[in-house]
Amino acid sequence: MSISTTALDRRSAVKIAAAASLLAAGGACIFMVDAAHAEDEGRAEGGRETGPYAGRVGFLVKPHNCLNCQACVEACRKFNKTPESRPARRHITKYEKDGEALFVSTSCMHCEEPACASVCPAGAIKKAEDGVVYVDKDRCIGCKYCYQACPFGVPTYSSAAMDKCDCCTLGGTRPGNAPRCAEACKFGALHFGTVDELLAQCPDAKVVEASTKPSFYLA
Amino acid sequence: MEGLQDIWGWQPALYLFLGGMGAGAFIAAMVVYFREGDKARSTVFASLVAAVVCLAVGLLLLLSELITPLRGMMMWQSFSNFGSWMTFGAWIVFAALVVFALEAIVVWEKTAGALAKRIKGFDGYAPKLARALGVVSCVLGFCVAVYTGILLMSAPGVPLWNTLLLPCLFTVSALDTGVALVEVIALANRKKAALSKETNRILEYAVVALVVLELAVLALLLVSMAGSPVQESHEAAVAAQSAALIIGGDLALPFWALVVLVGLVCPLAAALVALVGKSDKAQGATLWGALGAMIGGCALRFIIVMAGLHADPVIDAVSQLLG
Repeated sequence: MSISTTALDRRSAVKIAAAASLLAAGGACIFMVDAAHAEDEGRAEGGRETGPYAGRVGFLVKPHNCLNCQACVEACRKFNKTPESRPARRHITKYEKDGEALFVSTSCMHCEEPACASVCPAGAIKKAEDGVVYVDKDRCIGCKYCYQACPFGVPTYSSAAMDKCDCCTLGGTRPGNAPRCAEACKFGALHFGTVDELLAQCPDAKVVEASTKPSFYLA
Repeated sequence: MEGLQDIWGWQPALYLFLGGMGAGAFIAAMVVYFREGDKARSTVFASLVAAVVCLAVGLLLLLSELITPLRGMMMWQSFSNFGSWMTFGAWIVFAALVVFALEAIVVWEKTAGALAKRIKGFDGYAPKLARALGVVSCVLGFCVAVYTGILLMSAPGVPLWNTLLLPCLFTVSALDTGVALVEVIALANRKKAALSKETNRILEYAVVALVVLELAVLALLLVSMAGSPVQESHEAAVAAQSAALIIGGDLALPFWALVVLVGLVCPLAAALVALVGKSDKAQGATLWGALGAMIGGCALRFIIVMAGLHADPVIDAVSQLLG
């Protein structure tokens, strides 16, 4: 199979400089935002094991609609406070075959049988009842075994713990809300919902096949 | 070198090597002990200490690779998911470390003497205790050797590792490098307590059998990964890419030079020379062969860890969309 991939990142140096100066100037603001965020986390904490969404959730990506505008990546980075120094939880990959190219936005696939969770020695990765796979950063020891186990190489690592998409639940998304990435997509390329909803919307979507049964569809 | 597995650095690779060699050395030392008895006490004790050091250093390396080593040290919490092979492995290595150390204490004259003074009747049951601990340790040692391969095998994201052949390869290599370590220790200690000719021959025969077996498993692993020229799935293509890295890519030089030549061909030739040659010549050959086996075993772990490329199952689905 001759298909090539390129990980894309359109971030400019100007943007980085702007973000850095904003960070430097707005220390007090950040403290306030952090306090609000901690409050949100507390709220999310209560319903962590069940999760805020109704039913097993997943993502549906329509690569033919994706223009690689990076809005989903930006929204994810902003809401989850992923610094520029680390890879975002979501990224867009360019797939090319015989001169034709498609952009696919991917993040954690929130698999039905997540290999990351089963190999985690500390039991730090859990699957909530709504299907969201999340990491308990207070338990994570950072052995990086989850990266090796994940068929998609999703987990990334900060200096504190493993970091990956939790569908914005630990940041405080309320029931009914979509994660920020799906909300940010203006071209109908990235959809979030329960697997039933997604398949009803697009019955011939192709499921990405892996031993872990990903909740990720392509149409 | 770009394009190699780099999420796990050198520590896990060295841990897999030291864990395997320590476990193999323990088993080889027990073979020597059960054959030679108290005559070979000093060699057996030194081998057991070497095995304990290997496992302890291995565990420290594993901890040093963690993002939060201190949290990792709270093993009851950090290794509490028994569905994970890493949890199983951490506890089995820890248990092996404790039992190996106990066996070393019972086997060594000085510690055994001190225990005999304090515990009434210790002399009477010390041989039985040494034998029982030895058997338990051999089982634990074998589990450690197998586990070093299973740890990689149970990572479904990496096609090169996700095969039963990997624990087979690492187990054979663990025994091979373990025998080599005991041979080096026995040679260093030959003036104090030389091993009998028969025991030496048994070790050399073991080297021949293990090297031949390792060559066969290694060939089978690489051939099965390289697969057919037409790859059916992206996973098979990534497996083939990993095999190509080892056979003819960036890792080819260390693979052919260190793993195959230094680590397998040299020890095999040395063992054959030792089996047919005179004893003075044999000792030199055995020493070089054993050192080669250890270098090869270490290089093998690094190469397998570095060649563990990740698959991307999304490609298969996207290629359907691309027609």
